[in-house]
Amino acid sequence: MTSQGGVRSRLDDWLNPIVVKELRQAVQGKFVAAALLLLLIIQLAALGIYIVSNGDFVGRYDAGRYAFMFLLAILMAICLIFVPAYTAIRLAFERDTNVDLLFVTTIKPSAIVWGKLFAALTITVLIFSACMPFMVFTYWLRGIDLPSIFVLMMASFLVVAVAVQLATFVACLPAGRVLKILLSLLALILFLQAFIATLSWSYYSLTTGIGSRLGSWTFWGPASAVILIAVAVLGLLFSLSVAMIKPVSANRALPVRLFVTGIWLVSAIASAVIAYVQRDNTALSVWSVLSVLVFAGAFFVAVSEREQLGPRVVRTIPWSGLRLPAFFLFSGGASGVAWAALMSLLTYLAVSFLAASSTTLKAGGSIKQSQVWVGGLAMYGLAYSMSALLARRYLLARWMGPKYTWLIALVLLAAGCVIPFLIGYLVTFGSFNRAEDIGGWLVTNPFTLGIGSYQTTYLVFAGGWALLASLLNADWLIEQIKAFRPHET
Amino acid sequence: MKIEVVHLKKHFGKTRAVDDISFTFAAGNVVGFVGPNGAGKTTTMRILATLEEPTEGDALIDGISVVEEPERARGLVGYVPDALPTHRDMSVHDYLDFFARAYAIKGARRPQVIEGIEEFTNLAGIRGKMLYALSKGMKQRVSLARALLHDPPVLIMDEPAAGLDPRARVELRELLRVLAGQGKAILISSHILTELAEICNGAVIIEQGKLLMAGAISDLLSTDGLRRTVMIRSLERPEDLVRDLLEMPHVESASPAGGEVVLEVNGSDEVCSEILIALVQRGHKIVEFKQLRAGLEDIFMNLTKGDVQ
Repeated sequence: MTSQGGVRSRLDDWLNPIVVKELRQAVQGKFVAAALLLLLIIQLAALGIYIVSNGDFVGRYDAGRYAFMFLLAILMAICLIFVPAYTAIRLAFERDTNVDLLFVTTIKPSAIVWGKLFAALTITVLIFSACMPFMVFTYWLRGIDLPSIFVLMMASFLVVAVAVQLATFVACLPAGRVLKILLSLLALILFLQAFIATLSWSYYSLTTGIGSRLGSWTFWGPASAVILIAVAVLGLLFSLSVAMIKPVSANRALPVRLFVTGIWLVSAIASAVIAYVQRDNTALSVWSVLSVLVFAGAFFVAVSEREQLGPRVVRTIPWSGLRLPAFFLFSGGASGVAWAALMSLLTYLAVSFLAASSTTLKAGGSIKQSQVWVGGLAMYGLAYSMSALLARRYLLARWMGPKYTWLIALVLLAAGCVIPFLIGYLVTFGSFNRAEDIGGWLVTNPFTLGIGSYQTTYLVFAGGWALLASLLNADWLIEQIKAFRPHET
Repeated sequence: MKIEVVHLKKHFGKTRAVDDISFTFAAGNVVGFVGPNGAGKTTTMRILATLEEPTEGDALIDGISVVEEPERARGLVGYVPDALPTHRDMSVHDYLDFFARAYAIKGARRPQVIEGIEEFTNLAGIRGKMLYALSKGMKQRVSLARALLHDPPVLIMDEPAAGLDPRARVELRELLRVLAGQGKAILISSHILTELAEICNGAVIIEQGKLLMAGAISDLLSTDGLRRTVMIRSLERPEDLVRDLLEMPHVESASPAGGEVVLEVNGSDEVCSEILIALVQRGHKIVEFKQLRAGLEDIFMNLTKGDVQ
């Protein structure tokens, strides 16, 4: 074999099998080609109609900007619906039926998810590349520069990437068809919001100018933050998707918790640096609240995890001093609760410490509010998940397994947000003007922590509730802590 | 190489699809997995193929648990499902190439393996054909080829002969014979019991998720309590023989058939020999006393009630 052939063969081996299959199917099938052709026709028609209907564009200086926004809207509408749906439906089909039999091969779950994502992104690149000439053409209509076009295309690509990964995550969920359809609709609403947000941000960026700010911190600071958040969300969804299709017996939580812990640390450092450089604690506030939202969600997931570790996980529990950190990171309900609680506490301490270390940062009012939100959301998250656990263990044990505890927690949360509000509204009927008027009734709603006059009440209530529910589940926690012992040979 | 199914249970809500099933078979054996529709055959096979997780119990393939180490178990199992590949946009060769890649068959070995399997399963001539354009028999071959790509020592085949024409069935049977000869352990489910009986040396019979019987075909046939059919030829008139036979315990029926007598005996081999002794003692001149071997079909009909849960 020639060296060229050897390199080709090695490259061929290195390629992800899913990517090869998906792209072969995309090329041989008519669906992708037809969708691409249709998009090009729509773009061409849209551009033609715009030019024809705006006959005075020669004298205008913003025609290119508007034409670009028009084309971007078409591109994003198709990419935020077609590509995620194409990827998710194919994967869900493969999981639902045994037609493709992907899951009896020795291919790794991470390779499956990565392959699906990479193939979808390749199709996205194809679509973006096909649309690029039309987009670039708008430069000749004036009102937009080439760097702006490329930056906005890159940002849009990032949004589509996150959307594809979200759709893949929904497809990977081990849920029934009805629940999956509901979750898909929820994802569709998120895509719609992403569509509106992308277009709004793009328009705002074009009107305020991108090209002129490319060399300054005012562009790269927020851009870095957005990229970091997008990568974090992408990574989180990726690791969750992989965990979902891993066998139940595997240590599924370990990579997810390691990733979240890592990204939490990196984003903490980044937001601290931004806060110190800009002498503004907004970045810290955003980081802390976003972090605790993830950890509050982690409580819901944790109480749905398996309660007894299988021999496979037990075999990997270390004997040495690593046992304690392993407890926080390994799969298992109690481990998940302990990890989410620890991370919430660390977030609270980090915000408090960073704020205390600088008078400028401490002076900002938002840092105190961040502390309230961080503490409050974590305690509400713990309280709801522990209450759901209690309900599942003592009331619903005959009908529900541990894996659906999150659903009970969600129902409780929805009830806690809506029912007291309705009662308060009826009680104060006629005199209700603002949320503060029924503040006392909103004590079970974690999203009303912003009502200043009731913050202490809410925090005390959430803390007491979380503590009580945890104490009532103490046997569940202690049993699992005791069982977290290495395999005895 | 040994396959052990240990107290396997799989519940779907209140339905007990598989209810405490245990059986074992070893390399080189072809075991027929028999049961009425809805008996739990497909669920058990899907658990063995790591596509389903059991509610309780386990299955060990060469000591590797399909529950605890499904990734390792997958390397040892080739699974042929009852559903056939239907991709509209994939050729036979691309399909096999994808699975060869998924089984991490790398470099120059991959085309060699695919070519070898295509030759073995007689797919070489249609390697460029699209999957959707294939006949059912050809799709079944593709499915078998896919399952054989990583040369697994265990083959799990769910209704591989369903819907195949007689020629395709004969060809499939020949392929299975060759594979069994190669030392593979094969678990095969089918409703065509006469065909199974021809290639199987073991059988597992289940109904409503419960195990009714499992073991080597020869052992199953000699199990006490089964009905046996015996043919007797004597030098006297068959009617005389029938009269005496009907007076004997365990003889459920006896009737002349040509110059012979065919009787149904409810009992073991020992009971049959006692009948022969009694006939000789009564002075009958027996020329031939032959037990007509009960087939898998007879065992199946004797054991199952045809109930569906």
